[in-house]
Amino acid sequence: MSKKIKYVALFCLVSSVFLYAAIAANSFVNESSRYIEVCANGIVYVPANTKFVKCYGVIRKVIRFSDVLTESMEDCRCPKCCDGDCYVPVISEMGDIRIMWASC
Amino acid sequence: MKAKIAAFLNHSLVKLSARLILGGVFIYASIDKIAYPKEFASIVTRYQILPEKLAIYFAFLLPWVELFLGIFVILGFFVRESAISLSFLVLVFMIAILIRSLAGPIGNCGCFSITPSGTSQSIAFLIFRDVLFLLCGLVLIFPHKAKNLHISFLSQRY
Repeated sequence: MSKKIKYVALFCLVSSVFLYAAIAANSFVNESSRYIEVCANGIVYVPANTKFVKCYGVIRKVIRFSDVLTESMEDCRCPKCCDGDCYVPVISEMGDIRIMWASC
Repeated sequence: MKAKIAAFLNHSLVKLSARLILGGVFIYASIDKIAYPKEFASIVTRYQILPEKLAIYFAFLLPWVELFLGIFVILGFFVRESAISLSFLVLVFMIAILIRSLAGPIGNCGCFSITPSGTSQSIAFLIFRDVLFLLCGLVLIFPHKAKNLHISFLSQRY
């Protein structure tokens, strides 16, 4: 295979990968506009299967839900972070308040 | 002294080591980001340097750029050009880390792993690590004058 053909093949490969990534990014942009804002609107309802939320417009990944909040973690309410995560009180499907942990 | 430094930087083994380290690091760094692009996008948006939409496009494209440039550096395609691009990326990362650190402790910098580390990473450590990668890049950017090593494809021309 000539050098020119190799370069064209490489260019096509790189271009198609970037095109695929751009399309995936575009779909995530559309998806992110539907994420629940959990910090600015008081305590809001968040379904248990939620993967991402927004806190003051910033996308955060949901790590876990818990029922209780230890005293030592009370200062870690989003957007303030402690050791890689922060919490937000949310309303669960049962109607009670749960603690949702999001990544920082 | 200058001649000694130049001779050291031009030594084929030094160049080869720099290529393997720089290329390997960027290939390794891209894997988790390609596997979990949404998680990486959420980390990039948290830096709050770029507007959200631009940050998302950047986050989806960056890992592929890292992967291709890493492969190019290791395989010997456009080594100098790739090293310049990777060094520029390292500089961008350093500036981003410094800006983010002004806002508070860095949870997960998104440098290598996407999963939360559980502990905040030291800014000094992150910068020191980036300086090492930058040095590897500079070794490859530095004009090559010495004879190459004859180790199959790894010793291709610059």
